[in-house]
Amino acid sequence: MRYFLLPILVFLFFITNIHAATFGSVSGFVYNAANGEALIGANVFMQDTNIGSSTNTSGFFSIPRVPVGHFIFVCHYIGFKTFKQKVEIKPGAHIQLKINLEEKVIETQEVVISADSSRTSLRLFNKEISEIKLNPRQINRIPQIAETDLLRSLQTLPGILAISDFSSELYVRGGTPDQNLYLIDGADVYNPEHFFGLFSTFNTDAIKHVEISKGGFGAEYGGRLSSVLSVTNLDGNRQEFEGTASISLLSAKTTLQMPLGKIGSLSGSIRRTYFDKTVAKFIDKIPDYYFYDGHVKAFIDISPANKLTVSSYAGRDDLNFKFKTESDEKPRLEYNWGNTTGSVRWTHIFSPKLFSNFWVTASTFNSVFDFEVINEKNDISDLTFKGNLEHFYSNALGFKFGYEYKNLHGFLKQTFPGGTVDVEHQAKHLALYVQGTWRPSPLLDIEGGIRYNDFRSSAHYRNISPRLSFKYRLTSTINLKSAFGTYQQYLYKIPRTFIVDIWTNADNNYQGSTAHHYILGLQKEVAANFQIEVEGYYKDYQNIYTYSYFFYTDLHPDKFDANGDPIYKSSKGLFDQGNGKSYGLEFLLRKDTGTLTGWASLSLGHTEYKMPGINHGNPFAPRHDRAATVNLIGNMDVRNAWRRLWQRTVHRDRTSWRLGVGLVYASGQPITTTSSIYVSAPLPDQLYDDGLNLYPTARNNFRLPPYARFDISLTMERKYRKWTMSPYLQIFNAGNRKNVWYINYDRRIEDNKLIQEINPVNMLPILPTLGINFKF
Amino acid sequence: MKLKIFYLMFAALLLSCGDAVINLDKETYSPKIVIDGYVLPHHKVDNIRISRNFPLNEKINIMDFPLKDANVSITDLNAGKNYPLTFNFGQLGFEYRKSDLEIKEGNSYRLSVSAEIDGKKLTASSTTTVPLDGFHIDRNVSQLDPLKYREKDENGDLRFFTISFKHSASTDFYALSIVAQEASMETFIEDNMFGLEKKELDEDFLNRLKYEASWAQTSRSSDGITTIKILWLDTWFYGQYRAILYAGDNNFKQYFLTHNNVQDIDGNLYEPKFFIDGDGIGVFGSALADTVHFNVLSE
Repeated sequence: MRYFLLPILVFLFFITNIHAATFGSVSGFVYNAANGEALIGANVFMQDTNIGSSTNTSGFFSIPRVPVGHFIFVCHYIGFKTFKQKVEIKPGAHIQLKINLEEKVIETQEVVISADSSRTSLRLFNKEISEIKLNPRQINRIPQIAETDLLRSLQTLPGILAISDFSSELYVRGGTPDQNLYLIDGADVYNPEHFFGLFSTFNTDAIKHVEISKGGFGAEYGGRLSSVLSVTNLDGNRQEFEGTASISLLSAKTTLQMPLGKIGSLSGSIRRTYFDKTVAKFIDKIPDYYFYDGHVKAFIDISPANKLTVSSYAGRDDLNFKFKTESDEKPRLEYNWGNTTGSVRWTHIFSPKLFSNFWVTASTFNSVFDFEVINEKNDISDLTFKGNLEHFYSNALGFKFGYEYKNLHGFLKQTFPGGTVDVEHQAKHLALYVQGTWRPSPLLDIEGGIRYNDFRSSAHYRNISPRLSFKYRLTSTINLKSAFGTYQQYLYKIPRTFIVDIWTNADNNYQGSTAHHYILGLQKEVAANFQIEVEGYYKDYQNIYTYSYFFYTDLHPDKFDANGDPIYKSSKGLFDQGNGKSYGLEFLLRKDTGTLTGWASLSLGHTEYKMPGINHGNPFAPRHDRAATVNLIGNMDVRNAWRRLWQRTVHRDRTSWRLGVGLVYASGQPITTTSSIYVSAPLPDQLYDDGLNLYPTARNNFRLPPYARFDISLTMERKYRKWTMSPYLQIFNAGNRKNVWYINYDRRIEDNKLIQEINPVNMLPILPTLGINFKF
Repeated sequence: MKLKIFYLMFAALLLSCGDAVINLDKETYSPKIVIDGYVLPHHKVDNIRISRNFPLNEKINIMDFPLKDANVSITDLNAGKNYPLTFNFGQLGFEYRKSDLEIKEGNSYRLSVSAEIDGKKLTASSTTTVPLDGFHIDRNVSQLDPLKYREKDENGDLRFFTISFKHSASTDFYALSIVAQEASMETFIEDNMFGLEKKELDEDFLNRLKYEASWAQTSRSSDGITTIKILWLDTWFYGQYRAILYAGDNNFKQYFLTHNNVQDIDGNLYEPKFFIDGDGIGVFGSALADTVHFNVLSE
């Protein structure tokens, strides 16, 4: 690796010092003045010039070449007052700024000036293609089941689909959930689900920033074919103690933040469901079940050039079911699972032009199942070392380069009558990348990168993944963007409905998967903070894998234990392998500020797989394919909307009411149905009429009826001197529509006649929830 | 504006109300010959059931299933000789009535069927190779003495009925068929593991509990003998049980392990593994079989 990095460092050192004498430079951090949190994606620029930058994920910005003279330095971030400061740039001088932005007092008031308009389109231009950023406020205002959930919020965005009401997993642009990279403070999260997939592991009260890239992402990310979801938790309030607490019918949770003297801050959160302490105590046949999760994060400002962040997350689900409660001898099913992650990040500023982050992260997911003679232990863990360096060579040219070294280990141990599964896998994954951004004019951005992957398990795979994107400002309000990239994946998930998934990796049985992304997008600023985005994409997949449903019929023992029982140690036969493609078109109309905020989106798309082992080798649409999905998300400040309607002045009230609505309408999912019924005996000696069997049609050749759901929430926010109380009512599926999950077929023989019935199995009915949030 | 918002909300609510309607059309239906038959060494060829499939949503007379007029024959591929089968109205299956067809271990047999369904002429065929000899239950090693339900030994560990068997040289697939021969409401074990109560049973459910079938995982030991436990999960009645252990060929194995497990937990269906050429579905398999009995005692 040193042979790779050394020439780059020498090159950067050389080019860093060429123009120092004729220009000055400005760099620094942008913070929220109220709590000291670094602001990600804030725009910073010299007024009346095209010179500017935006803050990275650490809140850092650098403008390496500013002509000598007097300028007004401007910093803008949505929801905050614009910052302006006069600066004098002297030859060769460097100015270091620490900008504290103040939140707008009246958040809902829109100030419509031309400068704001240009900032909206600039903000859109700076955003990467197919990237969507959400803040906790936006996430919390989307009506949901029982409580706010990050992944369910993301399912309302164009191109991101859910498979059913029972799953919070993300299907991004035709990709499967294992093709999404989930990062929490830089550490991988493998199975981000609670409650058998109903909820995700991310506690939204603890989140500072969410960024999802649906495709075409740069060379700094890799290892997955479809998307990257990066969640940054709160660093902690550096000014004063702050807390939130919530109670709902499902759970109680709290998040606390406090300064650590003058050197940093601390934040922590904890959440626990109490279903087991309430309903399960009164109903015998409901199992004892709960989940909890929590995080702790410390931010330490060692010096202006060195910052340290230590973050840890842990979550666990626990199920305990006794089949007959009056006797201890009766069978008991115990099942628990969860994620634990930890990360240490060192932020170091080598120079105003060279910024770096170095991480050591660890992540583990495991589950334990125990029922009579069937036991299972399932584990995946990694230890990762990674670094990302950003070099701001000039206003027109910047570089990112870095490394990621991941040591992966996983196992699956199952014991069942007459056999054992004992699969262990170990892998090492090294990735090196370099990426350059060139802005030849203020109207054009070109970004090119390359990522090298070296993956070693029982087999050795090496791949080079080129990435290329460009952004062009067609007019002052319209941006054109495009991206191409090659993506590799070496980890695969065996999905198991209502049981936790199992991860395995590329080995001598299964080689790595590859996808190519081709994306073209157009962004239009319609009005101040009102935008339309249109994106079209095409993805192809090679060597993708789907879980082989009947894998167990062709398993052969690898060895036998001392008792002569078979031991299965190989992943061979677990997957069907093939190729595929996804293509689609997405429209997003979004408004982030004002009395009415939200978005409307339309996603059109199609995904198709072709696998020799499935559907007799003919192409088929996977279960998550949907031709069209419409999402409407709206949130209204009711009192100010009323004032605006009657053209009165809007202002912040001590008591405010917020109305949230969510509508999703999606065309039907494909499903394999049965075309007919036939009779056969299960065994030569058993009854003839006992075996009424279903004969399925071609794979997924039937479309279920369209899915529709209307959610609504009403929140009252009452401010007191130092704290705020917000009781809320949420109604999930307010229309109580019976959306079909799948079809069950009943068949029976009555009076020597075969009776057949089609019974749809529905998803969740109307679910009202009450809760209350406190902020202090 | 007020009205627009009201209309929008009203439209959204309307859109998200009601039931989704499913109409499964018959266009996906295609007629198939259903084969359901096994050949066992040293047994005559009989009970080869040839029937048809029927589309959903039709009330069908069960007697319309068998294809009584089908042309069915079996070919001994080792001898190269073809044997026509005839329909037995008592068994509702096809059989070979003469004695010149002998099913032997290690030999291969092809079943050929042609029939007309819904005006379409269909053909189907399948070949099975009978597993090699050597398979038998070792009654001396097996634990088949009567046991009380979930009886425990002196250490407090559960005791089980066990079946020890010697393998066939050519198959690793063994299926166990257990039939509670005295199954009735009276013999139903009320103190069962899952807390299933007698009032939850009807005749159909009782019949389902009477028959149990499982895949017997083999082990490798120096004497080539595998011992399998009969789990208490498989016994729902007191009294006599008949257990038949089959050493099946690959057709038998693939069909047995897949045909009754076609619906995933998320509702999707998967086609079972058929090894039938042409317009057929089902199974034509072969097996060696051995039978034992055991008795579950009441308290």
